[in-house]
Amino acid sequence: MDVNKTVEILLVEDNDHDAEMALRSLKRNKISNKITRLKDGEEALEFLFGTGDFEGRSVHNQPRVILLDLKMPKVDGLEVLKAVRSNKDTQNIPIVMLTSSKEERDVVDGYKLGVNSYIVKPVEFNSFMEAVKEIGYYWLILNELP
Amino acid sequence: MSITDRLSVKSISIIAVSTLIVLIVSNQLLIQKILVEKRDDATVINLAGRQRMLSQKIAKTVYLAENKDIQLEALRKDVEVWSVTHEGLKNGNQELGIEASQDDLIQTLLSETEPHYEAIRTSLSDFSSKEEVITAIPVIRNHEEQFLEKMDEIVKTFEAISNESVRTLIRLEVILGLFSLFIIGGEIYLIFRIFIARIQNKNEELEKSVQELSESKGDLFEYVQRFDLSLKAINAGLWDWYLEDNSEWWSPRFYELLGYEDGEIEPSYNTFLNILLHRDDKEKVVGAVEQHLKSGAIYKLEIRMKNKSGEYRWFETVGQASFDADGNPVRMVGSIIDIHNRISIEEEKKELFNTISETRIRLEEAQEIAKIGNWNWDMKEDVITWSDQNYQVFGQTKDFTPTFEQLNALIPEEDQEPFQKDVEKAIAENKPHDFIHRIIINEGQEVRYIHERGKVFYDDEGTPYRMAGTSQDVTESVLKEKQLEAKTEEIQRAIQLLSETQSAAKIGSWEVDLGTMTAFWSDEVYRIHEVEPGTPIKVEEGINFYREDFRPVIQNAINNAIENRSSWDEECILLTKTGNEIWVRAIGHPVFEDGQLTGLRGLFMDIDETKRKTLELDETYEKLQLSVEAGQIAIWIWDLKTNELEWNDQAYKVFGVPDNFEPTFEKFGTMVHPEDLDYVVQETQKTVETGEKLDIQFRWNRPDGKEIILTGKGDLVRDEKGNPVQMIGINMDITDRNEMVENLKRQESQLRSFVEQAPAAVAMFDKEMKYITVSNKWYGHNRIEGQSIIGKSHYDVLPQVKKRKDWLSIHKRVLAGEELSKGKDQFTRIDNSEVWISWTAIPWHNVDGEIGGMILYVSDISKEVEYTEELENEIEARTQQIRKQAENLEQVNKELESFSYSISHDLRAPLRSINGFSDILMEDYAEQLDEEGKRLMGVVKESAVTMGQLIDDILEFSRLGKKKIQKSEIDMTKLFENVCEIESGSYSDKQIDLKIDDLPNAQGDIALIKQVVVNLVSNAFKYSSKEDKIVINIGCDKNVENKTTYFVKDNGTGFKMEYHDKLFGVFNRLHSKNEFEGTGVGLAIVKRIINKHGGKIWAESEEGKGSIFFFSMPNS
Repeated sequence: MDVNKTVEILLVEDNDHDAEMALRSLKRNKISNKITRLKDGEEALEFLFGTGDFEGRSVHNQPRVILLDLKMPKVDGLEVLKAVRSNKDTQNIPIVMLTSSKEERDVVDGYKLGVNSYIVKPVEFNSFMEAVKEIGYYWLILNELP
Repeated sequence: MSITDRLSVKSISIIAVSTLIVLIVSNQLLIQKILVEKRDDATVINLAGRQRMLSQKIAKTVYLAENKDIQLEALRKDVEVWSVTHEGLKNGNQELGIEASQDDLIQTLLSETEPHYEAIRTSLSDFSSKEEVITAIPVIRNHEEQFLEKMDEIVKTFEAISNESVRTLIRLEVILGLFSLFIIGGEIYLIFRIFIARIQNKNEELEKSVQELSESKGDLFEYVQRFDLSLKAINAGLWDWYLEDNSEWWSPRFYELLGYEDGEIEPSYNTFLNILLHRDDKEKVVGAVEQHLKSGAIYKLEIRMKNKSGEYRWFETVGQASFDADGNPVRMVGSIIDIHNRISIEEEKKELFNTISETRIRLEEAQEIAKIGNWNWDMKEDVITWSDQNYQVFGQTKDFTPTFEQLNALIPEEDQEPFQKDVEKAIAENKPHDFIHRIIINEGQEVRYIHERGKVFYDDEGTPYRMAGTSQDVTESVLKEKQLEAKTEEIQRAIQLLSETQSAAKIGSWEVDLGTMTAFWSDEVYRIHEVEPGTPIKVEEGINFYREDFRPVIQNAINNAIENRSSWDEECILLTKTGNEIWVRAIGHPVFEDGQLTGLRGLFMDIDETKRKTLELDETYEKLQLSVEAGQIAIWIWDLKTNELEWNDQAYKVFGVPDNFEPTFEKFGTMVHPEDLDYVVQETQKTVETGEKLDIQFRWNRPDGKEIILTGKGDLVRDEKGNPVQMIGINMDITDRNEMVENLKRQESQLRSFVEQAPAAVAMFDKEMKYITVSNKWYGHNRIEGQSIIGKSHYDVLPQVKKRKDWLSIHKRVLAGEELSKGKDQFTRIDNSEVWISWTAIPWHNVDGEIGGMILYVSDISKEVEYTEELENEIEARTQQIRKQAENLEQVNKELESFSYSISHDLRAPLRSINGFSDILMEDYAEQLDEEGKRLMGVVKESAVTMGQLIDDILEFSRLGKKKIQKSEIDMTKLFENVCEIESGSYSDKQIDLKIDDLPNAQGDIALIKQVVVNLVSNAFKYSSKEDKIVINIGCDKNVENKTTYFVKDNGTGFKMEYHDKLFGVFNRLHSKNEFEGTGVGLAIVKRIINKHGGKIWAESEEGKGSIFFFSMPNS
C-alpha cells in the first residue's frame, strides 16, 4: 500500500459486513473517492501516527474525517479517540463514532473524549445508508476544517 | 634690563644653585663612598697585615720543627686560615667581609705574590709528622722573604690609594667653595647692572626689573630651601674643624639638630668638647680623634650631646682629617646624625631586658617560696628538663632528667591514666594542661600532691614539639582541703542527725528574717506543711498556711510577743499544701539585736495525733457526762474496808429506791433477783480477789415491783502498796435493750434458717467477711461439700476470691453500705472449673442499725451464657452468609450488565448484515427473483427487524433494574392527552370515543411514567382497533391507602382473568403476533417502572368485553 496516498475518509470498522455496507452507501452517494478502511484500532493508530505497517507515513497527511467503530478488538474506538485527541497533529480531525447500541455510557464517554458526532448503526439497512450518506456529506462538504 | 638679561640672571642663578646642590649632594655622597671605601681598604690592609704576620708565624713554627716538638694541629690550622685569607683577598670572601679589589694595581700585586704563596702552601699542603714539616723548610726559606715583601707593598699601595681619595674629596670641597663665591659675585654684578639700568632706563622698566629680580630671588631662596631640605633628608649636620686655631664651622642643620638657631653659639672644638659633649663621652672622643689623626683609624663614634634645652641626645659622628704635604693634620671634616631614637630604643630594650631578668629572678624567688618549679618537655627527644626548684618539688636529685614515662613512674597507678589523658587532651586540643596528681617518693615513704600546669607548643605545620609549664607542690593545701571536707561531712552528718531527730519528734525549727522578709524552715517544718523541702518561703505565705480562723490568733500572739518581748505558744490548725487539716503547736519568740527587732525564731510541732486523741477523749467524757446526767447510769463506790457503799444521784433512780435510801452491800443484795444473787456475789468476790474487771448482767427487783435487767461493770482502786481499797462501778438499765437483742436474735435465727434453706447459693458474712451462715446450695456451688466453714473467713475458704481485686473492693463498698450486683461474671472454682455467675451483694444491719456484714447471692448462669454464645455465633454465621450472598449478587449483577452490553452490540451486528444484505440482494438481483423469492426475502428482512426490536426492548427492561428514578411533579392529565393525541393519529380511519377525566398530578420520573402511559394507551388502542368504534376512558380513584390509582379502560379484546398473572411477565403474550404486534416486553417494563415508584399495577378484564388497566402511585 502506498503509505502516503491522500485519504479523505478513514473508515475504521472490524466487522467486514458493516464495512461493506458503509462503503456501498458512501459510493452510492458519490463520495467514494479516497476512502480507506482499516480493520481495527491498532491499524488506525499506526496509520494516523505513521508507525508499524504505516512507517513513513507523514503525520501531516491526515484524513478529513474518521468514521470510527466503537467496539473493536485490540484497541477499541474510545482508545483511538483518546489517542487522536491528545496528539496535536491529529486532535483537530473530525471523528464520527459508529456504534451498535444506544448504550448511554458509550455515548457519554465518547462526547467526553471529544467525538464530533455519533450515529447508531440501525438494523434497517436504508436507515444505515441514510445516516452514512449524511455524515459523509456533512463532514466532507459542509464542515470546514478548523 | 633686556629680556636676555633677565633670562640670563635667572638661568645663571638656576644653574649656579643647581650646580651647588649637585656638588654638595655629590660631595656628601662622595664622602660617604670614600668613608665606605676607606673602611673596606682598612679591612684589606688589616688582612694583609695579618697575612704577613701569619706567614711569619708559620715559617717560625716550621723552622722550630728542626730542633723541637711542634703542635702539628695548630700549624695545620694556621696554614688553613692563611690560605683562606689569601684566596679571600684575591677573589673576595663574604664570610670575611671583603670584596675583591677592583684596583688593577692591587690585583697585579696579588698575582705577583701568587708563586710564593703557591710554593709555601704546596710544601705544607699535606703533612702528618714533624719530619714531613721539616722537609718544607728549604722551600719556605726560599719564598718567605719575597712573600713578605710583596705583602708590604700591597699595604703601602692601599694606604696611598686611600689617602688619595681623601685628597680628592678636599679638592672637591675647595671647588665647591670657589663656585659659591663665583655665584655670589655674579649676583653682585647683576645687582650692580640694575643700578646702571636704573640710570639708563625709565622708572617703569626699572620697577619691572626689580619685581622680576625679586622673583628671581624668590627662586633663589627656594633653591636654598631645597638645599637645606636635602640636608634635612640626609638628616646630617656638618662640621669643619680647623686644627690650627681649633675654630669650627657648623652647618645650620648642625645647630638645628641641637635645638639652636644658626650661629647662636660659638662654633669651636672647645665648645663642642666642654659644652655640648657629655662628660662621660669626652675621653672616648679625644682618644678616637687622636687615633684618627695619628694612624688614620676610622673616626666613627656614638656620642651624647646636650641640646639647647639641656637634654642629652645620642648622635653618630663620623669624620675624616686632611693632611698637609708633610703628613700633618690640617683640618677635620665630619657630620653628626641624630640617632637618639635608635639608641633610646636599644636602651629601652636593655632596660626591658634588665627588668625581665629581674622579673625572672623575682619569679624564681616567688616560685621557690610557692614551691613551683618549671619544666620543659622536648617531645621529639622525649626529655624533660627541670628548673632547680622543680627538682625540689619532685624531691629528686639533679642527675634525674626523666622521659615522660620515667616521670609517670613516680605517679601512683590510679593517677597515671587520668594524668596522661589530660596531657593527651592538652596536646590534641591545644588546651592548657592543668592537673593535680600524686607522686610517691623516698621509697614510698612520702606522698606529695603536684599541681601541673602546662602549655603545648606547635611548629608551623601544627605538629606539637614542646610542652612547658610549672609544677607546684600543693600537698599541704590538698591535705587541708581534705581535712576540711571531712569536717564538712561531719557537720553535715550532725545536721542530718538533728533533722532526723526533729523528724522523729515531729518538731521542726524555723526562723524569720524580718529584714529580707524570708523564712527559713527545717526539713521537718517542710514535711509538716507537706511542702517540698528547700522551697523558698515568704513570711506572709507562712501565715497563710494556718486555717483562716487561726490566722488572727497567731498574728496576735506574734504582735504580743514583739510588744512585750515575750514568747508565744499556740495550738492551731494548719492547712497543709495538699489540703489536710492538722493540729500544730507553734512556739516562738522575737529576736532582738542591739535593741532592734530583726526576726522571729521558734519551733513547730506536729501534735495532730495527740490533740485529736485529747479532743476525742474530751468528747467521750462529755458523752459520758451526758449519759450519767440523763439518769441512765448509776455510779457506785464500795469501800472494801468499811463496807460502805456510796451512790451518785442517778443510782437512786436506776435502782428505783427513794432518795433517802441508805445503800449498803447487804441492802443491795436484797434487791438482786434471788436466782442471780449467787452469781453477782461470786463475780464480785472474784474481782476483789483476782483484780479481774467486773462485768455482769443480772435481774433487779425494783421496790415498785418491776423487774429490770442491769448490767454492771466495776474495777478495783488500790492504795500505793497495791492493796485493793475500793471498788468503783456502774450499773445500767438494759431491759429495753435486752428485749431488742432477743428480738434480733430471733430474727437472725429466722434469717439463718431462711438462708440455709434458700434454693440458691447464699452466704451471710460478718464485717470481717467471716461466714455466719450459708445456704446448702452454697457448698455445692463452690465445690466445698462437707467442709465446716462457719466462723471461717471467706478468703480462707475460697482463696481464689482473694486474687479478685475487683471483688475485694466490691466487698468493701458493700460493707460501707452499697448494694451491688452483676449479671455476668466469671468465676474460677476451687477445683479450677470455670463458671459464669450472676451475683448480688447487699449489706445487713444489726440492732443498732449498723452494718453487721453482707449477704451474697450467687447463681450459676453458665448454661444461659453458653446458649447466648451459641445464638450469637449463629447470628454471626448468618450475617456472614448474607454478606457473602450480597457479594455474589453484586457479582452476578455485574456479569449480567456486561452480558447485556455485549448482547446489545454483538447480537445486533449479524441482524444488520441479514437486513442489509437482503436489501442489497433485492436491489441488485431483483430481476432474478420471482414474486415468491421476493416475499421470502421480505420475511427474512422482517424477522431481522423484529429481532432487533426484541433486543432493544430486553435491554431496556434490564436497564430499568439499575436505573435510579428522578422524581418530579407530573401533570398526568396533560401527559395522557398528549400521548392519546399522537396514538390516535395512527387510527385516523377509526371512530374514536376518548374520554380523559381530570387527573391529579403524580410524583415520578417523567420519562419513565411517560413510557408507562404510552404503553398502556397504545395497548388500549391496539386491542380495541378491531372493534367498530374505539372507546377509551381514562380516569382515577383518589386516595385509596394514600395512593392515587389511575386507570385506562378500553373496549378491546380483553383477556381471560385466569391469564392475569402472565400479563406482566417478560415475553409473555396473550395474543399471537399475527393478531397484535408486539414483543411481549412492554407490560413487563411498565410493571417494573410502577413498582420502582412504589406503586402497583393490575388489570381487570373479561374476554371480548374490554379491559381496565389500573396503576397506583403513592401520594407525595
